[in-house]
Amino acid sequence: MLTALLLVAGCAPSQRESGGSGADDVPEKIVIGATLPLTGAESKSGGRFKQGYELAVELENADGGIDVRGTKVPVELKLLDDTTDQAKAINLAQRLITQDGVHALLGTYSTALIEAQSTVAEQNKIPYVNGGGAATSIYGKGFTYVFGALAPVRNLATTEMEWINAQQAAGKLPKPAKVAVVWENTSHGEDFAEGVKGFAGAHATDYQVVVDESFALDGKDFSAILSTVRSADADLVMVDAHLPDFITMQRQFISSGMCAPVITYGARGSEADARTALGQDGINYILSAVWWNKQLGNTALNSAFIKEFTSRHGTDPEWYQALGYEAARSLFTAISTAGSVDRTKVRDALATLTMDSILPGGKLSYPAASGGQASYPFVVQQNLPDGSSPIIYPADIATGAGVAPNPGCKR
Amino acid sequence: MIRAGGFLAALVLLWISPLVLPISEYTHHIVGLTFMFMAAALAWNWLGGFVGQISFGHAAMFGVGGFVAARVMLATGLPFGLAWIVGGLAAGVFALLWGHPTLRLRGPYFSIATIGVGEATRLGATYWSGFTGGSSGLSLPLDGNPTKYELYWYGLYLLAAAVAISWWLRRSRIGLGLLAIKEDVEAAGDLGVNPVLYQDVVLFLSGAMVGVCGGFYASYQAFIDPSDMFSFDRSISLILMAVIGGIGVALGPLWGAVVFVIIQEFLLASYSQFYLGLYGALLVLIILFEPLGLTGLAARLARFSRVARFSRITR
Repeated sequence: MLTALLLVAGCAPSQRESGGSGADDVPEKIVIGATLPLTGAESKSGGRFKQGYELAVELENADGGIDVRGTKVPVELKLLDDTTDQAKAINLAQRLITQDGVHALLGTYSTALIEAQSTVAEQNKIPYVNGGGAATSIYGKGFTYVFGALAPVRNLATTEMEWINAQQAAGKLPKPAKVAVVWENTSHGEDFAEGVKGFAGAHATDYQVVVDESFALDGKDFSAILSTVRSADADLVMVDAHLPDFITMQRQFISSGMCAPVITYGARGSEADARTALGQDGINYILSAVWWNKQLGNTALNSAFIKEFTSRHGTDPEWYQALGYEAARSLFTAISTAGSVDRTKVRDALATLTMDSILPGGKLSYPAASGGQASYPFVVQQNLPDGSSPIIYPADIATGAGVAPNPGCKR
Repeated sequence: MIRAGGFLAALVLLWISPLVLPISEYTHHIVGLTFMFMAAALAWNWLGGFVGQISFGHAAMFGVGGFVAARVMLATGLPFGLAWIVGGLAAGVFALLWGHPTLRLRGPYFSIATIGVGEATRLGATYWSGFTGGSSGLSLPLDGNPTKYELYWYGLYLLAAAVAISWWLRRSRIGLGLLAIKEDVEAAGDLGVNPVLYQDVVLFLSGAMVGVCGGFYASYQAFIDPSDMFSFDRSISLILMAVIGGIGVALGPLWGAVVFVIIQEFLLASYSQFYLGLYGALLVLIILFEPLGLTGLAARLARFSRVARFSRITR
C-alpha cells in the first residue's frame, strides 16, 4: 500500500519561479546571515569566529558600509547558534534564507558542519563564504555558490612532514621513523591522513606507518587508540583533531605517561584554551601548522587587523578570528565588485576575486580549479617552554628554531 | 465511512492549500517536515502504543532507512521514492533482526534493550565511514532529489499511508490481537493469538515506516550524518510526540508531532539548546495530569462541554 501510494500518487507540483525582483536595486541595508557553534563542543572556536565576523562588520559599517555602485550601504549580521549540530546548522541556514531573506551567508565553523550546511546554500543558490571548512571534499562536489578561505588540510600535513623531514635529514630523528597517524573520521581527518601517508609513501625508506587509526568526533575516551600508539612505539605521533578532542586526547596522552619525539594535532596546539586546560608543560613542543600568523601576509593589513582586534578584546587574535574576518571581508568585497546583492552576480564576483589579504602570501582568491577553495602556504609553529610559539618553518620566514626530538622524552 | 470521508477531505485540503493560500516558503517546508514526523510518530505508536512495548531505539531504523536510501540513490540513481522504500525495507528487516529476540522481554527490560540497540547502532554507523561517511556524514546529489517545496506533497503521501495503516491495524484482527498481547501476553497466547508473529509483523511495519521517514529526511536535508540520524534524541522525540499526542490512541501522535515541531521551530533560532528541557517539562506534566496526552485532554474537554450543555438544557 505504501509503495502504491508513493509510486502512483508520486507527483508533486513544481515550485513557482521566484521573481527575484529588486535584487539588482541598491538595498537600504545588506543582511548577511551566519550560524556558528556558540554552544556545544566547538563553542570555543565558534566564539572566536564570531569575533572575526563582528569585527569585519563593525569596521565596514564604520566606513559607512559596503560601496554598492557609489552608495554606501550598511551591513547587518544575523548570527544564530547552531549548537555544533549539523542538522541545526542546516535548518538555521534554511531559515535565514527563506524566512529572514538574507542576501548572502557566512559559514559556520568546522568541516563537519560546513559539509552539511554548504548543501543548503547550493540548493538555494545563495553565495556562501566560510573560513572554517578545510576538507577538499566540501569543494569537490561541483558546487558553484560555496567558497572557502581555508587552504586544504592535506597541504597542512605535507608542510609539517617537510619540517620533520628536515630534522630527520639533520640526524635528529631516527631513520626510518615510525609514524602513528591518528585522525578524526571526518573528511578533514581523511585529508590529513592522506597527506601524512602520501608523504611517507613517497619517502618509503625514511618513514614507516605503524598506526593508522580513526576516531569519532567529540570523543571522551581515547585510551584504546593511545594504547595502540604506545605499543607501536611511534616516533612521530601525527594526530588530526579539533580543539575539544585535542585537549581531551593530549590530557590522556600525558596522564598515561606517554611521550613522543614529535607530536602534532594538526592545526591545534597553540590555542590559549589549550594552555589553560593543560598547562604549559602539557603543551610543550607540540607542533602545529596554521592558516594564519600575525607575522605573515600583507603587513599593513595585518597591523590594522591586529590593532583593531586587540583594542576591542585585549588579546591577540588567533587564526580562527583572522579567517572569520577574511571570509567576511572577501564577501563584502565581492558584493561591492558586483555592485549588487544579486546572488548570481555576487557569486561571479567571488569566483573571480583576488584581493589583498592578511593571509600568508598576502592575497586571497577562490580558484575555480580547486572548487572555490583558497590555496596558500601554511606555517609551522611549535610551543616552547617559555610560552612562545614561534614560526619554525618555512625557513625563510622562521622566527625561531624548532626542537626535535622532544627533550622531555626519555627513550 | 464518515471517518474515511473526513480523512480524504483533509488530504485534499492539505494537498491544495499551498497552491491557493499565501503560505511562506519557510512555513511550507516546515509543514512538509511535520508530515514526516507525524508519520514516524504514528509508526512508533504501533509498537509502543498498540503493543505497549516502549522502544527507545527507533532512531536505529530511522538511520538505517535514511542511509540505505541515500546510498541506493548515490550508487544506482534509483528514483528517490523507490530508494526510500528500499531504505524502509532494510530498516524493517534490521528491526526484525534485533527485535525478534528482544520482544520476548516485556516492559522496562525491553526498553532497556532498545537503548542498547540504538546506541550500538549509532556507534557502529559512526565508525562505518565507508557507508555512512563517519562524522562527516553523507551528501546527497542535488540533481534528481526533490526540492523542499515538492517534498511537502511527498510528506503528505507518507502521512496518508501511516494514517491508513494505523486505522487498519486498529480495526483488523491483528489490532485486536495486539490489544490482547498488550493486556496479557500469556492469556493472548491461550486465546489463539500468536504473540511472536503478531509482534514481529508490527515491529517490521513500524521499523519499515520509520525507515521510509529516514529516507524522506535524507532527501529533505540533502545531507545526513550518523550523530543526527541515529541520535538518542531522535528516539526520544518519537516517544515525546506519541506521549504528548496520546500514546496508544490510533491518531494521537499526530497532534504530538505538531506540538513538537512548533516548539522546536519557536525555540530553534534563539534558544536552540533549551528545547529538550521544555519537552521534558511537558512530558512530566502530561504523565502527571493527562496520561492520554492531548487526545485525552480533548476528550475531557468534550465531556465537560457536553455536561455543561446538558445541565443548561435541564435547568
